[in-house]
Amino acid sequence: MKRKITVRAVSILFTASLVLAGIFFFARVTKRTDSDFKTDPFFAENTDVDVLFLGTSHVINGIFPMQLWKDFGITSYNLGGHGITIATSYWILRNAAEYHKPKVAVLDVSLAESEYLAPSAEWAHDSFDAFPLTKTKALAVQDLYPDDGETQQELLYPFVLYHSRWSELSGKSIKEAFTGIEMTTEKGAESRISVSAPGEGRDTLIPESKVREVNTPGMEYIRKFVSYCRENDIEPVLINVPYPATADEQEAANAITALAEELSVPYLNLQYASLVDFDTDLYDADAHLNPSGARKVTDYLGRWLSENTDLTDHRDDAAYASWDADYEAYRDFLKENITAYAGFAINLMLLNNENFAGTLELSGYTPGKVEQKLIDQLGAAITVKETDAGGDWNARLTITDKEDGSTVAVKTYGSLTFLESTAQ
Amino acid sequence: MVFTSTAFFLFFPILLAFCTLVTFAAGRSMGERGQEKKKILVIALVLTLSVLCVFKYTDFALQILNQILSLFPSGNLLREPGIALPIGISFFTLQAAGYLVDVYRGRIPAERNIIDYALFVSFFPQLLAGPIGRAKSLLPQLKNPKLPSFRTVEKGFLLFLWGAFLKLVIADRAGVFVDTVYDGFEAGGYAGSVIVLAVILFGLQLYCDFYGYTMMAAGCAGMLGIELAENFSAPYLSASVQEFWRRWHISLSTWFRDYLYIPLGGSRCSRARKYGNLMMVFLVSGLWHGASWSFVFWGALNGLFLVLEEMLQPFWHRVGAVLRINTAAASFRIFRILINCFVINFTWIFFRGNGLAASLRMIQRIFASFGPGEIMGASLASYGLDSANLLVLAAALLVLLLADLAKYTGRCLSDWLLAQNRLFRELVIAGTVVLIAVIGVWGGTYNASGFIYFQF
Repeated sequence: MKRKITVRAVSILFTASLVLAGIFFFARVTKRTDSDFKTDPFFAENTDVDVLFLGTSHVINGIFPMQLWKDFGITSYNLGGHGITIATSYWILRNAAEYHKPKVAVLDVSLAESEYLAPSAEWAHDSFDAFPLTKTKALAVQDLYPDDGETQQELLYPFVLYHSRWSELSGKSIKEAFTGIEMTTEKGAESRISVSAPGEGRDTLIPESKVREVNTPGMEYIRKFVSYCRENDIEPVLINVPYPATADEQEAANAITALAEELSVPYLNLQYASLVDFDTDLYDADAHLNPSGARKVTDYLGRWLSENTDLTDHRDDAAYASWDADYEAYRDFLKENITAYAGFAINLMLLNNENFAGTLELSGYTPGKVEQKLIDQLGAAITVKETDAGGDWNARLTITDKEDGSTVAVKTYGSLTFLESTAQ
Repeated sequence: MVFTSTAFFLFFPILLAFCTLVTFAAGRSMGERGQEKKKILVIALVLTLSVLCVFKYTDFALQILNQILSLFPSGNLLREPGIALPIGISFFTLQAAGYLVDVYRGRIPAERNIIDYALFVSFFPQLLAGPIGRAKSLLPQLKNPKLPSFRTVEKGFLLFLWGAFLKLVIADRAGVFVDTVYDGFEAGGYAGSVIVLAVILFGLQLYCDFYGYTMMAAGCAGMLGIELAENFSAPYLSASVQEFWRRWHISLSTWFRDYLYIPLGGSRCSRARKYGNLMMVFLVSGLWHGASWSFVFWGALNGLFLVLEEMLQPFWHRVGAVLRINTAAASFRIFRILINCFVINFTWIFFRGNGLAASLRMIQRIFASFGPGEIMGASLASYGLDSANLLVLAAALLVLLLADLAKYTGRCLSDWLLAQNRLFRELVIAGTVVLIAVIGVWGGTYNASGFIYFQF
């Protein structure tokens, strides 16, 4: 009898173990890896991450942590997410602080006017999937989706959603699940590469004094964010990354000034800092900065953080040598972008980076307004020559690496049409 | 519409308690007051079934009345209250009514213990969608429960697993294709061949959805040592409409047979009366399935096919004799099965269709533009299921066919599996659980449908 019970107990345990192993395997191989791609380097970071950037795509596309490292020695990570509400940012900070408690937390307030407490589930997955299941994650999901049990479940247990990706499995995805996926080299930021003009009615700046009343969940969560930061010895900073906003959006962003004063927290409303040129620094018409715009905002932010906070410049600290190695990988990423992207304006925009210099040869071609602006912004980083040796091209851009003088790419254009790119 | 959340939790127990108390008290009274038995039965049945009627048919009745009133220019239309249907009401009211009739007929003694009786009416695995239990077999099991053995728990788990496979791997997957075609055949201009495939898949979806629920209910009950009535027995391998209804939703078919068809006179009466009885049973069955003209028409169609089948039986016998057809041959049986599948699937068009008119347009569309090529190539993957899902569906249907063939020939797959070596059993069980978890249609992607029979 005793033996029978033991055999049955072992049988049940064995079967349950097989089931768990199977579920674990498939949970791993079917998981969408976008969130891991963005966030895993944050978890893997061995050094202190002094600044966390939180907020919407304005932050992801508009602030480059690697540039902050290179130019100011500030260690930071960009945890912004597409469509992420302020309440979500607050919870991302609370979750992230369990792994790296920052000294400064910078919150983007561009969605303060939104009536939504939480983003759509798809966007929330991008931010939360990489975070391990903890009590804080459960609290976040319950708070953000109070009446949506289905979304709560799928965010806490992504297998609920992702198991249906079984039909997309490939040998590569199975291998990657165990050997590791390719991860971002931008410390959470995301370069969106294009040059666009602002949308209609979005290029006029209204007076900073013009405000409208905003009474949204976002305003409530700005207070919670500040209060959490203070309780945990984190310095809160509010930011509005410049973008071609409607008058209505600008009035809402201006309303944050009063709240920031009430809470005694710095508010960097960069709409009024004259940092970017919407003709040359936008990825798309309505919202996002391209790398040229992002570099300008990051530069401003680096100076502000250096001057107004107690952050340490870690560049000479051997314990932070890994950041230099990460920067090298980032440089490779920048070079790949230069090589991969076509378009005269885009190539000029990508050249707006201290790592590179360029020589532009023009053969019977006069740059357009935006192109000329981009050339002007490059200043000494570009040498412009008139030549009649064009042949089948009207413009040739040679991009060199400033560090070793090597040629990164030579790009030729014929009557505004991109002809070819030669990687060196 | 079915009750959800707060309304469900408020009203459902009240209705359940009402039906339980009324039928329990009536059963006791019938035992004690023999001479007033009939009166008590009628009053209790009216009270119990009126609960079903009020919640299920009020809107439909008012809708009909309004259609009539709208024929008169000055007629004021009545407001349809939009009463929500408490989930499971169609099942537990019939179960309680069946108990009453059995007590009245003296087939079972009136239950004296209210707790046991309440458990019989509300036994959780079968409460929401059957099978409709019979007091004679279920009450004694509930009154004297046996401690389940390891073997019965294992078998119960296997049944549950099989039910989950049918529901999550087949029914909800087929449902994606079915919903796409049924809801979009007009706007999408789908070819007749695609509609035919959707009609066939709906038949399979409905089967696997309801059979799956039944197996999960049987599995849960089995793990508690309770055996529920069989509800399906390879219905699509039936060679006639009559046989189909002996194999499909058996607990409902036998309920209608015992408590409606036989009291109406059954087959022991004139031929015309018998046909009338059949039509009546299927009209009621149609109404039981749903308060709409589509369901009434569906029921009538089934009744009509059954009557025609009976009427034409002598003719087919004669044809068979003249042509010297070996009706015992397997090939002839297969031929009849295919014909029957065609007939049954035809009736399902009205069961699933978005109203009577849309169903008729759907049939018209099949003949207007059949386009057989549409279901042959890659375009088949453009109706909600990609090629991988179509492949899984086909493979799962093959498994279902094999299981039904085994059942049809008197073999039981779960018994076969339980007779295998322990390690093999463990691997099969674990593999099936993982398979269902991975390829089952659940979670957020497909908005998997609820159990279809919950709405009846």
